[in-house]
Amino acid sequence: MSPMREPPILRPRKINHLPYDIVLNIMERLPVKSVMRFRCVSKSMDSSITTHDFISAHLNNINKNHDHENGYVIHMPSWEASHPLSSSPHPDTPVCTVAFDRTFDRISEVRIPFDFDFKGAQIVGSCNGLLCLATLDNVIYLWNPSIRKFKRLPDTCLGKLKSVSVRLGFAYRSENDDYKVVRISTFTTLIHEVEVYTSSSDSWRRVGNSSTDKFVFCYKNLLVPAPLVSGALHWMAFMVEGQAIGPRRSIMSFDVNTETFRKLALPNYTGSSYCISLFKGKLAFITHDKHGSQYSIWVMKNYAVVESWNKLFVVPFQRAAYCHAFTEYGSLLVSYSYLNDLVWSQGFKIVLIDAETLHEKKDPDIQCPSYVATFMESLVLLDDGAKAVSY
Amino acid sequence: MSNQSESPNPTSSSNKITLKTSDNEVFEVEEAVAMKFCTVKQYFDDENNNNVTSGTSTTLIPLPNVESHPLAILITYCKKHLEIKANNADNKKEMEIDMEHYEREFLKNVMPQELTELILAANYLNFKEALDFFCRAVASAIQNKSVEYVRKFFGLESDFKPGEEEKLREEFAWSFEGVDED
Repeated sequence: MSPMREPPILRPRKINHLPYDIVLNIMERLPVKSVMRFRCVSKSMDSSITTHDFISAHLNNINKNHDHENGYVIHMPSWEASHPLSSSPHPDTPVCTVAFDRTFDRISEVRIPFDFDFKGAQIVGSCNGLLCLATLDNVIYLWNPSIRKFKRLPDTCLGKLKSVSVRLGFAYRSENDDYKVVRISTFTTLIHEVEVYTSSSDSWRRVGNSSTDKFVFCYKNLLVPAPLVSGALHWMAFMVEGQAIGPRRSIMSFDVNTETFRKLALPNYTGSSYCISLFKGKLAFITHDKHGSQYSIWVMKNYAVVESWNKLFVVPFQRAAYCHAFTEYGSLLVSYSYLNDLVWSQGFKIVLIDAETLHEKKDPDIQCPSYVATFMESLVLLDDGAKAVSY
Repeated sequence: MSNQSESPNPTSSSNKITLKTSDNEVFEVEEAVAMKFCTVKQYFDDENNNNVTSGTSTTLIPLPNVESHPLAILITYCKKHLEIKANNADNKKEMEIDMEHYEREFLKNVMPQELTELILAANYLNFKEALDFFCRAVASAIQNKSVEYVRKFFGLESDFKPGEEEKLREEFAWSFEGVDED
């Protein structure tokens, strides 16, 4: 107990309560679940918590205490993974799993709350605890599992047109606190049509293709979102020289602020290029040798400075391995396969490799090839009023 | 009030500053400690600006909104904070570990209601690190508590119209799972 001291000057010792701004300061440091419960403290508290300022301050506190060592991931089985030959059963309603980025140790499971065609569905991206999910037929959702709220986006302008390929990306623009979904459709003429959804306007807008480079996107072979670095989304592409697709690959970035494309050169690598991803906030590039038994991880130390590409790690495998995902922390999610066989055939086994220590976790808590994205708790979407659905 | 200042602190000068609380206790502290209290620093700077022949070590600063009990605790916390900072000047990670350790120990001797008193004092003195720490401490003390506990703790009253609170509770029933007993 605190010592009961009699103040030397005579005045009644009254119980002092904290000023309201300090009460809110404390509320901004609470876990999401507590904040949601304390909305019931009073009507004024509920109004304060559901403001944009409170949600941002709460988010800043979480980000301040976050480092790359203790991040979370969320993963969702890819539909291809539930192939009949796969060792895992096909779930009726897809379930996402929240886990530690480093170890893939499971924290919780979250059921996707909306009617969702799982076939070909993907995690487009994840920013500030807000996930962007899309189905093959262009239905796109924003979803914050921590506050149990989601929102279906309006249809895109070009969604119905037949395109060769579609690339989607999800980004957050901190300057004006806006979430953006970028959709790039490529047509047979190699023309790219870009559409951008902004959460502030809740609508799609067509953006002129600014690129003077002719390119086609490479086949998407990794189950991770298009990396967002320095306000730009990135995809690998083949450059088109004359009428032919050139031999070398590049990175095409799309700056979500200026809404323009830009070409970034890859390092001088040997072997085969594999994918781009994020490594502790930096743009990373992964290559492998022709047998798939050795992966190299390159990191662009200074964004957009081609000379700063630096080969950080070489991860050797005893036999051919297929890399499914590369987490921001730097873990490779890998399955061992047999040459000339389906990756998800019998004998398929997932392991998790720490790129830095080469520590191999033999039985990570993940059963099938899955979309993997970073994850955190947040209140984002709480102030979206009637447009977002609670469940 | 005993005032040992054996902490090796490169930023501290030999100057002492005297603080006088609302209950008329007098604390003599190192300048480096007092300067962490932005309210004191502001007062001191203003005084120095008005007085060209500054540098006197006899400045007495009245703190009419702070009692001796929280001030003594804040001074201890501040000294330790400076000491840990000085000991790990070139290693941020080590400093954070030491600070975390100290703060964990510190909280073992503090009651939740005492935290209110400390926050009010830190807020008045504008001692940012302490305010931040105490707010975090309250947050962790109340995070699993009930709505009723939080109302009582902060002295807040419900201003919901009949039925409004029930509706919210129903909508966010999941956030009421696993709440500690008051």
